[in-house]
Amino acid sequence: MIQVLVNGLVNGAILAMMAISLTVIYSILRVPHFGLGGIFVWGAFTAYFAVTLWNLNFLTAVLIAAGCMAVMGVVIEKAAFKKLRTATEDAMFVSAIGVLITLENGALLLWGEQARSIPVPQLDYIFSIPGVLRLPAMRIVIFAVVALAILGLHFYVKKARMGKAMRAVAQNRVAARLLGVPIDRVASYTFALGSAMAGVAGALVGTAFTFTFDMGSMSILKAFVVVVLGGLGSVGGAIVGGFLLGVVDSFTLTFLTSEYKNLVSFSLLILVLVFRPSGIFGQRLGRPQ
Amino acid sequence: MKKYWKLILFIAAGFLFPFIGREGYWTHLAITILIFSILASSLNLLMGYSGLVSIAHGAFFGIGGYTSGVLMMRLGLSFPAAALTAAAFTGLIALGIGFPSFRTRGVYYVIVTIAFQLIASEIFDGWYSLTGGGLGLRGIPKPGELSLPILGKISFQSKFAYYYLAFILTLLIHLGIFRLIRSPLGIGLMAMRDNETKALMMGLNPLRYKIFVFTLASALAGFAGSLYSHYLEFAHPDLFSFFVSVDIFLMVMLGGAGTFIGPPLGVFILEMIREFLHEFVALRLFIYGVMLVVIIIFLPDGLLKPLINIRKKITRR
Repeated sequence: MIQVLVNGLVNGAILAMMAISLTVIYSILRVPHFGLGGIFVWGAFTAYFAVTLWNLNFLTAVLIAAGCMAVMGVVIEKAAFKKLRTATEDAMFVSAIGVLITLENGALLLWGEQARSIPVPQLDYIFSIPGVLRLPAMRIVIFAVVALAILGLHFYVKKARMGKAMRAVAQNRVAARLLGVPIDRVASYTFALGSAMAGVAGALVGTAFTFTFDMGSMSILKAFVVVVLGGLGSVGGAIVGGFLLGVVDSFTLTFLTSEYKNLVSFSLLILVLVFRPSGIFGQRLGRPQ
Repeated sequence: MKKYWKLILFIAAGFLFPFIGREGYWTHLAITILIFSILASSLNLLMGYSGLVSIAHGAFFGIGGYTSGVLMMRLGLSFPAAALTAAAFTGLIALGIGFPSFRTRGVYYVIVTIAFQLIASEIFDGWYSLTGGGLGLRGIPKPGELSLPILGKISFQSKFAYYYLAFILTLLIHLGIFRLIRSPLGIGLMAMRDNETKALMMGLNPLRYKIFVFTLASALAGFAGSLYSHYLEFAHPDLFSFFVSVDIFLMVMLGGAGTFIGPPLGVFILEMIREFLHEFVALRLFIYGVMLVVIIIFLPDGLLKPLINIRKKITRR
């Protein structure tokens, strides 16, 4: 029981991280960036090669993954979204799905379909309370890294000059532009930030579990479930929603069914979108436009 | 008559095609193109004429395919009965999904459709006793023999005969769609697409229109699924997956949503690409992904409208 709960919380931490990366980009630029699923996969691969080919230690590898994914995020923004800035959300969404498919299948083309895991021997230690709980050290690292990333994001958005610009753009893009906020640079920084977080999430999953090229689409949809659960645009909601969905998923998998393991979360998504579009924790504001 | 000569030429070519293709690979490709044209055109009813982006068409395609196959295998229904029941059943499910999902709008609606697609895929994969799970549903029978007054008995075991079945049904469905979009109903749909509030003010009921068109398009997809699974004698979750939904979506986008012959054109182009790259699935999907981005940025109207504009410019000079 406790084991199932803790497993759920670990998954939840990663879901929360993905959900936050989605929320950051959506709430600032109104881009529903499902391409982050692809970034998630590429982050895992980058960290994997950093560890196996260059023999770097785990934390450096995670940082490299974050850096590379930030650059990739900016490139994607320039290539796939910049021209669509005045287009409808539907158009941006289609573009994002295109990015997702491109990145996932690019990874398949380059590195094949076998499941990999990032080997980190230093973290093979397992905490255990016999009969109650088995907790590999890596999962604790996940919590630490996710907490650090969320705190870092929080202070960046609240304190840094660019963070303030981002909040200005999120509030009112036209007014921000009139006051001289450079939208293009804000967009680049936002994509870099969101993509770096998704890349780190990928690296963490790749270390704690195994990863394949096609894990991105499922996890970005799950992340979207979380975002909807928590109420769009709310980082706090994304964190709570992440843990909630992680735990729900973990319990479904253990006690209900393993064949239909995603059925519950997607049904939840449809139900929440239909009956409570502002999220479980959001205020009831009517339908999202 | 002059107005219709292109159409007549096309139909004549369609009727003569199997004499070239015979039992070979080209006939197989043509049947696939025909079935996917039904899918693309029915999705076009949603995307092009009603402004409802849906990425669940693969799911409805699959529901129709599995239902029809199971009905014929388990209950021994004849093909027409099974296909029609499958279409009706698919429509019914769409009706059930439609009512709640139209409370959402824009991206949220698209995501509801994606979630539905994934739920359906999971059920195809997981309901082992009915669908055969990951092994697929094997041994779906071909349609039984049909007696016609002049032609005598027709057996659909051959690709040759099945081509005609698919061709005639595709023609009929496209004719129906054509009539629909020219009818007051179709005009109402387009009014709703262009400005929902205005349509409401003019006394139309957008919700009723949306549910009607969603149910109809899904039922057509289910019918196409039935044609497909009885042709392949096989149904598998991969044939009706999320990526198939994206394929159909891309076919409509590429040809041009909201044009009548655009989507079948898109089907033709994408099936040719699939043909050239059938051994390189990853590369094909990679290209599809890039195409999605490129189309939405540079060709949001699809290929057909710009082509027509270019032709107009040339003829004007």
